[in-house]
Amino acid sequence: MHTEHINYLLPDYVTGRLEPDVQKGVEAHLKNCNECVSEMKNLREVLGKISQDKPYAPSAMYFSALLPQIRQRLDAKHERSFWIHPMFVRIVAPLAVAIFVIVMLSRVPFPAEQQNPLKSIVADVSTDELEQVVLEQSQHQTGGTLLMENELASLPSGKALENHITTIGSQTTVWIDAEVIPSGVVPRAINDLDDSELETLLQQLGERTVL
Amino acid sequence: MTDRSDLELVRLFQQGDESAFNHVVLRYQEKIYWVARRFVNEHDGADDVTQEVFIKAYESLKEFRSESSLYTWLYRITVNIALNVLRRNKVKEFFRIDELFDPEDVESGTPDKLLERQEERTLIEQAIATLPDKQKAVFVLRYYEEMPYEEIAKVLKTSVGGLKANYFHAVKKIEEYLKRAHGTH
Ligand SMILES: [Zn+2]
Repeated sequence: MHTEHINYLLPDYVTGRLEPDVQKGVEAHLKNCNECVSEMKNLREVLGKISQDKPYAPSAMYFSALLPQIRQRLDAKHERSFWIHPMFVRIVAPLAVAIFVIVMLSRVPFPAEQQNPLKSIVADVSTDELEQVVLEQSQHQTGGTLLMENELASLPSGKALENHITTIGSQTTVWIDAEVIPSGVVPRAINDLDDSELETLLQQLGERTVL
Repeated sequence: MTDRSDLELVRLFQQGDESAFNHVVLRYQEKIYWVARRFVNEHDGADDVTQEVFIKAYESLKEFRSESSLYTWLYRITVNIALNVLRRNKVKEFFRIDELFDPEDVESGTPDKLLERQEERTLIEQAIATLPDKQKAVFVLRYYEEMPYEEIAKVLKTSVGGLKANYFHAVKKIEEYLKRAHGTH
C-alpha cells in the first residue's frame, strides 16, 4: 500500500536531524518507495556538496575590533550630524529620492520590446531604501546630488515643485512635467505616497522612458 | 557578566548599564556575522549587516519585551537587514550607480573595488543567491544554523507549516542550479 511521500522530511533525514520516531517512519517508507529513495540519493549528493563549501573566515582580529567599531558608530550617531538633521530628513532626502529616480529613469533607456525592469525592481524597494542609496552615494561623490542646506532656501515650494525640480550637482537640470506627478502630490512628499500612488508614478515615469 | 543570561543582560541594559550591551554584542557577533555572511556572500557586506544589526538592537533594546528570546529577536533583525541589503544591491546593480557617480573611480579601479570583483563566489554561493527571499532565509537558518522549525517560524514571523516544504524546495533549487552549471562545462 502506498502512503504519502515523505519528500519534505528527506533533507533533515539526510543530515540526521529528525526526531528518532520520525526517522523510523521515514526509514519504513524508504523500504517500500523507490521514488523517495531516489530523491533521497539526490538530496544526499547536493547536501554533501553544500557541506564541502567552506567560505574563508575573517580573522580573529576582525571580531575583536567589531565592538569598538560599533561603539564608535553609536557615539557618532548621537552627535547630530547634518545628515540626520530633521530638515534634511524631512525635505531634502525625500526630494533627492524623487530627483534620483527621475534622473535614473531618464538615463536608462529600455528597449521597447523588453518589459521595463524598473517597475519590478523599484516596486519592491521602499522609498526609505532608495533614500538610503542616495545617502550612501552622496557621501562619496563630488558633484553633489543632494541639495545642500543653503540651497534649501532657493527651493521652489509646493505647486512649483510639481513643474520643475532644480539643479542636481553642477551639470543636470531635471524638469518634471506636472502630469508625471499624481495630482495633489508634491515630490517632497514622495515618502508619503501610498502604494497605488507610487505605482502610478512609477508607471508614468516608466512609460516615458520606453523610447 | 559573561555568565548572565540573555534576559538578565537585557534588563541590566534597560536599567542603564551600558556594559551589558557590550556583552550582548560579544555573545552574538559571530553568530550574527555568519548568518549575514550566508545571505550576502561576502565579507564586507556581512560586516555592514552585522554592524547595522547591533546598532538597530541598541536603539530598540529599550523596548524589548521578553515575549521572544533575545536570540530570536536578533536573528529577525539580521534577516530583515540582510534582505534589505540584497534588495538595495539589486537597485544599485541595476542603475550601476558606481559608474554614474564615480566615473574616475571605475576607470582607475581602486584596489578595493577590484578585489571585490575578483572575490569569486563559489557555485554553492551563487546557487543560494538565486533563492527567493523566504526560501533563502529558511535554508540559511535550517541548514547552517540548525535552527528548529519552531524557532525559524518565530524569526520569520510565519507559521511552522510549510517551512519543511520551503527547505526542501530550496535544496532542490540549489540542486538544479548545480546541474545546470555543470551542464554548461
Ligand atoms: Zn515515497
